[in-house]
Amino acid sequence: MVIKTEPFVLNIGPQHPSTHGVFRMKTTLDGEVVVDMEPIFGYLHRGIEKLAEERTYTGIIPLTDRIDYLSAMISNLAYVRAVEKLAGITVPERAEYLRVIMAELQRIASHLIAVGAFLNDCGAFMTPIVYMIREREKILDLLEKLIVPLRTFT
Amino acid sequence: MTVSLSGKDIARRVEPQVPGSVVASSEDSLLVKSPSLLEILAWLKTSPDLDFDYLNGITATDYFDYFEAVYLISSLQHNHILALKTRCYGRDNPVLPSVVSLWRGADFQEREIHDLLGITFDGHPNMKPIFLWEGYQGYPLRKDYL
Repeated sequence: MVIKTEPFVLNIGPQHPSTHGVFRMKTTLDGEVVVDMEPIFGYLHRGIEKLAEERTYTGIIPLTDRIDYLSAMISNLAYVRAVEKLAGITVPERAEYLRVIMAELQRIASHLIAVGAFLNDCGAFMTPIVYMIREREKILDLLEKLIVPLRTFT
Repeated sequence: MTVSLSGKDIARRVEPQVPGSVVASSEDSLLVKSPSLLEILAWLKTSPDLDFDYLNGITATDYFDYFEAVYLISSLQHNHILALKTRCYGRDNPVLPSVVSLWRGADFQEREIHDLLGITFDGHPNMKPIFLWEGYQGYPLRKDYL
């Protein structure tokens, strides 16, 4: 007996326990093999570019924080460097050193969570991410001595 | 360190290839005319020691008289980066050539610019709004939207 098969469209919706963040995929499945996929995104578009049009130069800095909330100071640094280049402001040398140190520490913190989440997805249920967060606490303690964060470091 | 190429040097090299297309150049970027955009980018991509095989991104802004699109291209082998700008005039139906044939990554970038600013890209295989829903009026990132 010949079984008739045809591919069908399955929607892996925006909220799904296995996807990180909101991302919708319209997959065409043939059995269990994915034949085609159309990604639909934009669920987390916050309109930062439009909001920034109405704020002052320093008022945009909290907006750039939220671009990557794990390593907020890096986005701040990118924005502030761009403004300084356009306005022709030079920064004292000590400030530049401090900025680079902060940026590198934040990068390490962000990568710790990345590796932890990746290992989580590989199957180790919650252990790796807890280890990584413990290490990250040491970095956050250092940064807290410098500034008092409200939700992210700015 | 990724070296940021000087717009003036590239302008001098592009001028003999595609005459009359470079409008202005400065240390940071290069401004070209939009009809010859595809030709210039194709030449930049295939030229042996420039070799721009990676498109970092396309963005566009709205100055009231014109729209300006910025193409950031870089080379993975030689480790340099270049910013190229082009303008398109007219607010009703601005059109720019699409670079999807050169870099596949331009697909979603151009759809986003079409969605938020209203610039149509000629030659794009799937020009439809990428995150705004159907029936959305207006183009949010234009300066006269709200």
